[in-house]
Amino acid sequence: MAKIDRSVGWLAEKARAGSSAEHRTTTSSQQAVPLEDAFPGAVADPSGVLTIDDHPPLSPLDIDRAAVTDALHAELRLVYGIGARFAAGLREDGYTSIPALNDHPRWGSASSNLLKRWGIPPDPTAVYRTLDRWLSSADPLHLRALGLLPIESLLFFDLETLGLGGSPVFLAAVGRFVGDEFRIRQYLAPALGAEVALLERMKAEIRDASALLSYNGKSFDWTVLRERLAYYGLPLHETPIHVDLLHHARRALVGRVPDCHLSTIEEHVLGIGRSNDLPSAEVPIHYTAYLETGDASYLVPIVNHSKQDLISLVILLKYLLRMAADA
Amino acid sequence: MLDGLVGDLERSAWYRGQIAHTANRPGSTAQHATATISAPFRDELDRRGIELYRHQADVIEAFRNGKDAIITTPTASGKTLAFNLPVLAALHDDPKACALYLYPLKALANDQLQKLVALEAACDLQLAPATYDGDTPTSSRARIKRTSRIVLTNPHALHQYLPWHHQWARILSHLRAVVIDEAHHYRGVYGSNVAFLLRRLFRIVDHYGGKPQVILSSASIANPETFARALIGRDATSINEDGSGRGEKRVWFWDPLVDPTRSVTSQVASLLSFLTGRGIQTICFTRTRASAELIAQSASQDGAPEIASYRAGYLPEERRSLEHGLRDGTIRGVVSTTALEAGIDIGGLDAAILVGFPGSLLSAWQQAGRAGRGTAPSLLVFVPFENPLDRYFFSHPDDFLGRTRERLVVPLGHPRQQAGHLACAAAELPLPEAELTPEETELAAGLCAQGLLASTPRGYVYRGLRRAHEIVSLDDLSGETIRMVCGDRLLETMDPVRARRDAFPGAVYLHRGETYIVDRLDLDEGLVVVRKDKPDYYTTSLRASEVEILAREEIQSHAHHALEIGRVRVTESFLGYKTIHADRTVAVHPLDLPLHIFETDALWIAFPEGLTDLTPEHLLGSLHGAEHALIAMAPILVLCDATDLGGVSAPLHPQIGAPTIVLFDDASEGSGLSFALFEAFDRLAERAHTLVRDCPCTLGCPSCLLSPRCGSQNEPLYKPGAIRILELLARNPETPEAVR
Ligand SMILES: [Zn+2]
Ligand SMILES: [Zn+2]
Repeated sequence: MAKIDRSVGWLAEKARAGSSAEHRTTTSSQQAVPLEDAFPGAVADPSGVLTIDDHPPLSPLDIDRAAVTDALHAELRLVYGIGARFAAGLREDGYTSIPALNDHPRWGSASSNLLKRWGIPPDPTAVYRTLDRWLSSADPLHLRALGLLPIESLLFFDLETLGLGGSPVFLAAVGRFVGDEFRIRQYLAPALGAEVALLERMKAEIRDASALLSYNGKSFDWTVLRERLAYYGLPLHETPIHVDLLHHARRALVGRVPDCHLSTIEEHVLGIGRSNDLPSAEVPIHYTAYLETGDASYLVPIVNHSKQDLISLVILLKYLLRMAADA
Repeated sequence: MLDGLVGDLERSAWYRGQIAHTANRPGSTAQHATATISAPFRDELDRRGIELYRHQADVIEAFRNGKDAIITTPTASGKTLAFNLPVLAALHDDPKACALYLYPLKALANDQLQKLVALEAACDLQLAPATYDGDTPTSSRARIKRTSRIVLTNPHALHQYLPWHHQWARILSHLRAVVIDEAHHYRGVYGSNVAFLLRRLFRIVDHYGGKPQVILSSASIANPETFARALIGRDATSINEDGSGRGEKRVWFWDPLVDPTRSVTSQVASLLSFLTGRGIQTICFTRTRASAELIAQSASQDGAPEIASYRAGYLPEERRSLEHGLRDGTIRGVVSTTALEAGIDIGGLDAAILVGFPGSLLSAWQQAGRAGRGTAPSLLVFVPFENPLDRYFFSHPDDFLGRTRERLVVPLGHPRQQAGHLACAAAELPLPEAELTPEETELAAGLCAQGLLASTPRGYVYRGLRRAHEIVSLDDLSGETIRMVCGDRLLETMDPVRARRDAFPGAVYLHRGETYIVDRLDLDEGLVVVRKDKPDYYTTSLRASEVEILAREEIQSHAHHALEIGRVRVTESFLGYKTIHADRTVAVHPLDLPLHIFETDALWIAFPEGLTDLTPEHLLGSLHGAEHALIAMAPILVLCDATDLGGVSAPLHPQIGAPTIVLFDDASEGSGLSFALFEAFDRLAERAHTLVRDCPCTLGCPSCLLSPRCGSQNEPLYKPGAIRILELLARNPETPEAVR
């Protein structure tokens, strides 16, 4: 056994070095809290995934549906070949909307092709494909175009992992509006063996949604989800509509916040104060402590943290939509 | 051109009869054969007027028959074409099929890319071959993953990309061929790292449904089958008979000691200007850049105008212009460090001068292979230095010219390494317990206990807080790696054992032909800081080692001695270091370094009845001398450096209770050398015996017993006793009785 310790010890040391887990001891003097006490009412399915439901009090989400089409039509840059310079010139010549270009000698066919591709009413997938292609991912039109989709089909999501790329996902939170209520559902893996089932649940959630909303999800959560599914041999081929609010916050809040961490924006802009919140960096350490001690009380702050992330996401979206409409 | 050369040389005023002997390696005629290849390739060969050599046809047929192959024919025998043809043919036949080429260095991958691009265009294929490594611009990465059907990379890059396998799903699921070129680079501990990496690759490819065949290409080695088996974990057909036809090779054995008034460098410079002056295009290989430059310079002063010098790290355009100059004849001679030994296209020259034995016959013949155009005769001049290996080959031309090559050892038993690769594998795909060997299962359990893996119904899953591929580096030997930096440039990484010994503060350190001086060694931080310098001295550390035997694995009993192999614990203390100028110690400096204790593999020779024909005061000197000679000759059998082995002699080893010589792998956890030498010990002892017996000195000299690396400053040494011991070991009258 000494030989094994020598052979793996160096790896463990390196794995700890540089992570904030370095000097943390996870010995808990209290009685380990079982899962059912930590999350009363949560349901465990046969795969081991624990489902935790909640519906925090949030006012309904309201996106101006009528104005969406006009806003899209007003953006001439969506027509193939028209950049910022041409668009400005065209507006000066009185072409203020895409349909108005229909008779234009140079842009007529491109604009009518575009409108044909979008259809009536505009097909959201086609519209987002155009937006992703020609506009920056921080352009407010990405936010406003959400008005093309049924509110109930928007999926807010957030993942908690053991580290950066390549590490297991142990908690996934999704939120959607049902009627006037915002319903949060969290999938928790009480052991890493349940990760694959958790990922499959997420895959199903995504399949049922028309668009995803996240904070930094394009570079992190979505990538991790795809990577972890591939790890288990379950490739994710879909590329759903995905609006990453980090991109919009960066643009909309420039100069008003020292950085763009969600917690910073909550504090400086949204007026949300998190009490006793677990800093993001501590999340993996707490989960590791739970794995090592079996004490589910380590999980409670993680679950609350992830829930608050989703709530802030909704509040931030409302804030950004207001800014986009006012602009 | 070569006829009458010796006569001309003898008439030169500076010549003092340095050619001690000459030899001829007869040429051979080309042997051709046909192979089944599809139309575009056949047409291209016809256009270029190429008729396939037998070994090329053999590779093509082996591949067509679904076999893995290893080709080990000499430099310039058309190995590249031999593996490119079947691979490209397979990609031609299946429009989705892809291939992966692995190169030890980025520069070699880039050279191969040019060849593939040319062949692709000539055969009208669309394969979009591309290198993919740290230098690949971000803007090209997605396109390569989407469209390239041949990707060339290196082990370090591959190690980093494996966890992102889903991005490579297209290539992995249609992977038809894996080409491992310059495979002889993957030996020793680095080789086993690559072996584990390849097993990880094959596991992922299997997951995606790819069914690649492997072709390995290597310099000539003694054990192609076992090497391939160790490296790729599967059996490969060995193709080693060169059918390309060679010109006769004339070899001069040049003894620089004949003219003690002139340095080796200046003699070589004269020889170089003599040869180039007669229109003989010559390449000269040296061990260090400093001597390469010195030779080029003084040859030019001697009146040889078109002499270039070359070293590793030249920019591609500098290299191209050199290649060009050599091909069109505007450059008549080039002096190079080993950088020109492999992979670069300079065509055939007329003569090669080897200044110092390059450490292995494998390298020596790679270098010698730089001379020789088609079947025209070529010249090789071997200029030995004053050390045992050089002098041995100098005085044993048959061994130098023979077909015997070194063995390549790939030690797969490092538990630390195995643990690291297990962690990476579990981070790439879940690792089912059923796929593991018993040792791996034990290690996996240890990794679980340390919180790095979790056991799940799908297998082991990596759960460390830092990425596995970030904490496991391919350069890692023992898990703790020392980085050597010069300014902000990383020169190399090394094991701490090595660092203490060779990179102590004040040490003169040689790296790829450049000399550096060590300013600082920080073992805690894992850092060696060096600066470039050109000192006129070198340094060697003074050490004392103790070896404690932990376990015996095998014993061979002989009439008067026992040869044993097993596990040991080495405790090394550092006493100081000395600086040596012109072979004289000029100063001894103290060193303040902690003890170093490590476990490794060792073989030891015990004389249970004692060595009665040696007087007690000569016993240690005799054992010590024999130890030096055995270590010095090890590179003849196994591809290694004499510095990869350590040794300790004791007139009465406390655990054995008898006179004992211990040779150990000088790296924590072992490097497989002791085991390889144990297998071939008779031949090792015989070579060592010949070396010492035939050396004309009486007390031991740098050409036989003296080692510049001896921790006890070559004290004591007793040559007659060393000969007596080596004779005993070499004679080996009874068949060994293996006892497990
Ligand atoms: Zn001698
Ligand atoms: Zn010694």
